[in-house]
Amino acid sequence: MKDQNFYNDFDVPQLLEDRDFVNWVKSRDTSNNLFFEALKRDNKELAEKIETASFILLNLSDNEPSLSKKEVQKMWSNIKQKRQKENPFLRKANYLKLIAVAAVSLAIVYIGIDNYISPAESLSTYLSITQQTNLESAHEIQLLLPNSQQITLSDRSEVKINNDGAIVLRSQHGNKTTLNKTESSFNKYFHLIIPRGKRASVILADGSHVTLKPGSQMVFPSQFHKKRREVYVEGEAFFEVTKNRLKPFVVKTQKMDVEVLGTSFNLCAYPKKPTQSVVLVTGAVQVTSQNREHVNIVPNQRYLFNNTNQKESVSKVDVEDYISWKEDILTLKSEALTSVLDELSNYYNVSFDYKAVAEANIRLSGKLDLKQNIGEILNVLSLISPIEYKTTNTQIKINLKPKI
Amino acid sequence: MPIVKNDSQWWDSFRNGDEKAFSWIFNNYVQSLYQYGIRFVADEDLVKDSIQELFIKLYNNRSNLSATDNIQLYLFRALKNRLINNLSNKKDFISLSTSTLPFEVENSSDAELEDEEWSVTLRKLQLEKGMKNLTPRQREAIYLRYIKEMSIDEICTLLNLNQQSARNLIHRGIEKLRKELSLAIILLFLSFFIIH
Repeated sequence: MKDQNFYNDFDVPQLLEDRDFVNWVKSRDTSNNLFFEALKRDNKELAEKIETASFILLNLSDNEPSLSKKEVQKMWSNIKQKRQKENPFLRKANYLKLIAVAAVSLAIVYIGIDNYISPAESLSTYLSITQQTNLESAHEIQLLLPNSQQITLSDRSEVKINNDGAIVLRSQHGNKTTLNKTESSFNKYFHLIIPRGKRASVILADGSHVTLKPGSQMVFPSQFHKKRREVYVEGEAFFEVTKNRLKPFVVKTQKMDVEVLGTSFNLCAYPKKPTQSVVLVTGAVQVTSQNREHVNIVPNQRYLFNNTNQKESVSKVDVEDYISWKEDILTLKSEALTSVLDELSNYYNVSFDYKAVAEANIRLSGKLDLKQNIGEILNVLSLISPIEYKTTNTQIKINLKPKI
Repeated sequence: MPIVKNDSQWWDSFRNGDEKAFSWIFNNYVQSLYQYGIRFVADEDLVKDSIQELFIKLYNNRSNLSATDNIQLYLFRALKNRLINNLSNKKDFISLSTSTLPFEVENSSDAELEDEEWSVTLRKLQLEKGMKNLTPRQREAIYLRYIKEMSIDEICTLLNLNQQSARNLIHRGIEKLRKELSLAIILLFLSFFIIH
């Protein structure tokens, strides 16, 4: 706290340069209230200066103009349109393809520009949608409608988009709510946010079924484009795609695109994780990571892209291990304890402190029933491995069992 | 746990081609860029276009941009230069140099005036008049200092000044505003005199 006499020689400009004074006037700091009130009372000359300085400060910042949300979005889409395209297609300078593109665009002009919606959205369109909300701070499942309306859903809800554009929401216990088609000239996407500890599923307009893991989000349209079905995912999801040879189905993620005609597969693409993967159960898919060549995979294969060394690989796997989470079973085959704990942390929305066991190379095999609560799971883990756990207010601390 | 990136990190990710960083920078600064830009030119579309051009150019040149730990300052500077360019390209503007670029601050909005005491209204009007009587550079410095809450160093960068001149500029501006405000008290006194 400053001395009573500190401000004696202050004039209006000096007051305005004084951080304590400014913070007090702007009500960001109330701890000096008494101090400044006393100053005003005891020193008439200073009181007038304080009054003038506060008046200037408060009234100058009165009326800042601002852009509406719509204007901002319009500007953003202009920027995206006019900037250089990161398009591998054009980079290869493949004349045949260029001619094909030209022919397609001619045909589109012919059909009519008004109805044309770009079939392949750029990544930044999706990013500008997903980053308007913070997954980390969400506690409930949220569905953002194209008209910016926001709906909170209970755990394990199902969102179904009907042919006519209506939305049917079904809770875990079968309660149904139907929302009529929402009109919006501006944004044609739904945005589903699933925080840690929750899960949900979506039935898209073409009947394709998507189950999303905790900590994931998906952006999808109310109706698909005539030539292409496209959704955007951050996180992990299991897809069962309705077959339609004329209309490829594309799952876009930050680092890779997965294109299919009709299959089921598991996709793992958490923006913060060092790897992304696709595990194919049935059918065929084509994966393209960051302007690379397409990679085709067949059932029981897993495509993996490693961000750290930028390498991609395909290996044979047991698909059950990758999709059993759908039935609330976590299948472990010599899995590191720390990565199991990461998985559980996402599933149950709890935070672990496993520093004490990070160095010990503990690997687990078997199946965990995720329908049980986290306490039961940890009891099982401490039975089959040399660890014990202690719950504190904010965290669960994992320790090695003392050796007897 | 959410990881909070600082300005340098956002900027570096953007320079390395991270789409999310580009979009974050745009969304985070578009409003204050607009607010700053509109002070120079009352033409909303010109300001919006200039901001768009700025971001398109940043994106296209992202790998050649220099590093910064103060994105807002970087963008303000770039926008100001762009506005000067765009304005001097316009036929109906006669050559403008940085020092003559007008800087307007509109203040009181009429909607709010009605419920206020007359004395407050009068003082607000005087403050507005005071702002109008400042030089454009005084206005800009005061705007940046008290509305955008920038540091003296940041203001020096934007106005091409040294520390002392920036301080003097602000100091003299505030003194002028203060004179206008004390005039309001006299006017108020007079008005009482007439009414009673």
